[in-house]
Amino acid sequence: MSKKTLTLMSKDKQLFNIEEHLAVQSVTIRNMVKEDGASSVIPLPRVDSETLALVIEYLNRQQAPEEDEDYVKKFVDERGEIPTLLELAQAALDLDIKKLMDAACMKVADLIKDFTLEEVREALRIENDRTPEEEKAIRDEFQWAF
Amino acid sequence: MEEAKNWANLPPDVLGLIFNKFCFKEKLLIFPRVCKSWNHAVLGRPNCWQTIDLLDWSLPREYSSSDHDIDKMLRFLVTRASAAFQEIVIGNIQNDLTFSFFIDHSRSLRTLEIPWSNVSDSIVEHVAEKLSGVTRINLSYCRNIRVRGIRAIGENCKSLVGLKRNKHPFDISCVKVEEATTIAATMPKLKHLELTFNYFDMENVEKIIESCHELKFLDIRGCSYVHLNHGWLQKCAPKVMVLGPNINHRDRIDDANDDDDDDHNVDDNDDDDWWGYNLRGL
Repeated sequence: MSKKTLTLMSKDKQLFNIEEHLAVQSVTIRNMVKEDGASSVIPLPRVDSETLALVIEYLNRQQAPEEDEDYVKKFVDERGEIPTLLELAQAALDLDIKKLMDAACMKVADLIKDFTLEEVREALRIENDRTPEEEKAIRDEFQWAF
Repeated sequence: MEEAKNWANLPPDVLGLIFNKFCFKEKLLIFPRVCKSWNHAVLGRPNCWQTIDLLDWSLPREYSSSDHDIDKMLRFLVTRASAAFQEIVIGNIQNDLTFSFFIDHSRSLRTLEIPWSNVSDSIVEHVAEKLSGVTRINLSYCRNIRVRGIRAIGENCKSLVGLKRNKHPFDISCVKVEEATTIAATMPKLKHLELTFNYFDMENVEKIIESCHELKFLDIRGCSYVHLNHGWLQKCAPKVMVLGPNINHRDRIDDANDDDDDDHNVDDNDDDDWWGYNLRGL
């Protein structure tokens, strides 16, 4: 019996093939396969092709179970860019791949560990959306902790 | 990756995971202030605040926090995290009101550690009923808690498996052996018991070991009235690891950890800090 292959589609409409027995490490895909056999293409509307390629690479790994923890760690270590890791974490959330999501989040936490407030905003490209008065109010609320 | 993406709207599950890797102070001083949606995401999610470890921050030896600060902080936690916290580690609670307010609002508490606190026996008796779900308690160096408080804990916390009740070497206020008797009488499920620098003797140790059948670890370093009866221990308590009474008795900690890895069952896994004989802060 030949191995069954599934096709995943990224939000920019690129197609990726992956063997079903590997794809079902994703709980989301496993449930889809269970429900309708997932014969057609599985769309992943929030995952871009670069990230999906990484996820596929991860799912295709050939690690012995006892080496898997180390592998996941190394896998995210090698992708040390915060935006890449966040994309990966979000994709792992959508696909429900817990180990990958945990590892990616852990890595992001490590990277921003010693950042100041401003540095966090900068790294994640977040604009401060508070007025100076609102800033002061929230600072006052936590005054006791400073 | 596409054009510069703004991560203000990170999925809460992802943000929550990242958030939980930080210490309390960073959680509080960075995350809510980044932007409004992060503020909403972390303060609105009770499961971001299940474990609160403020020991370093609240220790008396740092003199960094006042009574007032701790009161404010606990009130903040209660209003933000409502009943969600399961684990709280905070030293130096100086008044009964703060303590009872906090306990009144903690419905899911499993681990309560309040070393160096000034709470009294009567308030412990008063709130003990609400602590029935608590499995691990640290009342070390709480000089105003005596045998009445300990009895109230024992009688109400029926699932108690860990108790830390270490005393300061120079604290001679807490002489009585009744505490040891009370522990033996009311806390039969204990697995982990720390009683350093207490004033009981070998008879009390035997009583505790005979009553607590599941005991695995007993720390009695500095209990200078205990003359260990090794023969009895070997015969009656081969599985109990006893540390002390010699105060320098730390060399067996590593051995104990090795044992742990080998033959302890899985359900102790979430107790690493406690069962790992991590002597931090004690």
